[in-house]
Amino acid sequence: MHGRLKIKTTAEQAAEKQKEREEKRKLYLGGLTKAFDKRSTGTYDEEGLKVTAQLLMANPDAATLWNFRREIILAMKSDDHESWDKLLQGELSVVENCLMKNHKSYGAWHHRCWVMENFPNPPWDKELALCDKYLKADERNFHCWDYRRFVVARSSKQPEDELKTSQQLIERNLSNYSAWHYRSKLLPLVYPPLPDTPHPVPENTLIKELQTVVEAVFTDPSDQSPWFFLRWLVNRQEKNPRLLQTGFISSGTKDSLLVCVFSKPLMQQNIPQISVDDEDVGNNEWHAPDNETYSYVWVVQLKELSEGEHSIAISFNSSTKKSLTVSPGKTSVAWMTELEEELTGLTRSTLEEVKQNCITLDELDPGNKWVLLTIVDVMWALDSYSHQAKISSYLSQLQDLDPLRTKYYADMKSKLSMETALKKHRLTTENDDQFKLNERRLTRIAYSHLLACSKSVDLSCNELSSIQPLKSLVACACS
Amino acid sequence: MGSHPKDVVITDEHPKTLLYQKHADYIVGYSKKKDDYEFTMTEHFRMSGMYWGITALDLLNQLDRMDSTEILDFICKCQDKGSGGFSPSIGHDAHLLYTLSAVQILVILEALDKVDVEAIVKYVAGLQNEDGSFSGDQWGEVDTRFSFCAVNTLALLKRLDAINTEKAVEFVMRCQNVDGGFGTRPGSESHAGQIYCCVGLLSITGQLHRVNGDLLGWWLCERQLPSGGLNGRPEKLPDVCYSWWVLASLTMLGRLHWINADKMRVFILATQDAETGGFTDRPGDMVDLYHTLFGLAGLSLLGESSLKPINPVFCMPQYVLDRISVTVQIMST
Repeated sequence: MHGRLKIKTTAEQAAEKQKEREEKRKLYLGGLTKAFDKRSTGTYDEEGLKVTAQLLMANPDAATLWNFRREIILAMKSDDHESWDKLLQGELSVVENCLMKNHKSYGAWHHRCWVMENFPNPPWDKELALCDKYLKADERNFHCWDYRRFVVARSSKQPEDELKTSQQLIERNLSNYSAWHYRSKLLPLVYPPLPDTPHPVPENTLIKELQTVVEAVFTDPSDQSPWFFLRWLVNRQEKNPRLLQTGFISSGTKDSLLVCVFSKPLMQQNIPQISVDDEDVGNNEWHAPDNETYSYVWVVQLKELSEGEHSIAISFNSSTKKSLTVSPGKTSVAWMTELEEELTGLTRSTLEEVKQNCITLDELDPGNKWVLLTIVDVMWALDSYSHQAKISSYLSQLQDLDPLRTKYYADMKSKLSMETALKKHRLTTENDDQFKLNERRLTRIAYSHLLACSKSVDLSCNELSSIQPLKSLVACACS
Repeated sequence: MGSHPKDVVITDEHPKTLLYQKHADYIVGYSKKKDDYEFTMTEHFRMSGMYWGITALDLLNQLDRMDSTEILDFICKCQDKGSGGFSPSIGHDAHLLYTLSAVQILVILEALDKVDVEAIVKYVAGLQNEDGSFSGDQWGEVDTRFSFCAVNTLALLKRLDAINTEKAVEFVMRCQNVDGGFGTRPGSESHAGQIYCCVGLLSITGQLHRVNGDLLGWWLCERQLPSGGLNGRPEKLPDVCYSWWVLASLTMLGRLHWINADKMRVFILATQDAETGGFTDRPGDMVDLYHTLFGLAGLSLLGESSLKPINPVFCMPQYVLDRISVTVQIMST
């Protein structure tokens, strides 16, 4: 139903076409009736294969006809290896004829998988050649890509071999997004990442890939696909939630809340073990501000505390423990860790290099949105705090260059503004429960969970359209 | 800046206003041309075709023009007595795709009591695999579209308890890619249609927190081309059906404002056929029911006031979901 151009015809041509179609319709209906009759009487024979093959050639997505074929094939199955093999080979030809009619037919590709799984000795190598052929005709055919993955998983092909294939396809056409995607899936298989690192592949692989992709974008900066891949390499992927902030919100000995803010939403049962004066807080005592099952923010109402200092201890696992000292009536907020995970020196220097390369590219070929987007990403990854002014100015340039997505860039500016405000807050103030976010042209409230411990938040004079994220403002609700 | 060789040009000859009545007439007319070549060749997905037409007609406020007795009679005949699933048409085999379409129509027409609901639940639950994925039917094809069909069907029947939703979610998450999107199976490339299915499944099951909204939202808004139309993957042509898959996904992520709604509207309106009524994939092509529903649904999401509001997850009029008290999760920006 896609890409059928409407052609203006004369009345005569239309009548001709109508006649032709009526004949085709009668032929198709006749075949369909024959096939369904055979099926209802349990007749599984050669003629059934012939009729369904003709019908499927005209309509390769008629799933029931493929089902009937499979029933016939299974009924005809014999113990004789050779004839069984021949029958299945015949099916591969039928599928190929249908693929020539429509190379995006779900039914035809699935039938091919089914046939291959029934072969006593499946000819996988031939299937790889078929994939090569169809990917040459259409390098983005996702049906064929999926079939290739199906074949590779069952053949002797190793991920290393396929990584080479992806390399060749990329070299043939840098705009082959499917090949870049394949690469992103294969790299972590060939080079498994170290546990608990924010990068998808080990550092030396990351650096090598970054160099290769930078070379690619220098070749033709207007190709989009390598830029998507580059963005992935540059961005950090946090794997496990980290405890970012702990807040002790207290107005007196009888009224104290303990608030924990995490980097990712988690469930009640995954909150780390926390004790107050050596007494454990029970997991089920925690609640989320909006009663959500998964939340960035978890709160517990503490029982009455005596005057004076108390100790709160947090153990993430047996080796990592943190503690803080609090006093009733005095609110205190402690950052447990940085907002982002630290970069190593090596990654940092590689990212610096990517940044310099992109800045050069921007000078050579000004006004390329992908170059600017990457500079934004790299600077953000390196340190959004020190790069704030520059990132913000690049985002403004992007708003002019790419007006379709101006609101995306505005939201990213707001995120940046919030991130730097939070970092500034962390760096410069201790136990300051006032948060000033006024007059920042904010279009969204990113990181709203990190406002949970602030007793007062000033969001006046912004450009907000929703205050939905404010549900996590726990401390604001306390007197 | 690179040019966009894969885009279309919208000219003054393309429609600029919503041809409301023409579309309703096209849909009603389509269901009456049973002897057409077109009608015959689409029999293998008739049940979905009916869902597209009925939903579109409901959005256009003219559902009463359909013969609901005839429709329900047909649907009842399509429920497979053995498996409990629905076939696309009489004589064809049951499949999750058509089971969802049948249930959607039955919910719209308030006629679930006409079929064996318990048998549907059993059919859907029986297609869940050990790894949490769903096969489309007994022949074993696995696809995240089928995961969505299963969860969507059971949510409408309020019987999500019949499957292992945790495993269903885990499988969908295995299909996520580094660009934040989702594909047909683990390892498959991101595609806007599959993204809609996977994000929809996460919304129904209350698991949207597993998605990186900024990353996926950016990928989705990058689908908009200078013509205003949306493609389904990078460096592909725009198509009006993506105005549904992409806009609905962005709505679920709370980021619909990341695309340019005015230009989007211009593109969708340009895919109308002023002669026949109905929408096409791209301006100047042939119309069909599928693109007619998704064109109208996209306009409804963008706030077209002459159409009934649509639910971004179920692709059914919102009032229908309100009537049966089914809610969805929407992410905040």
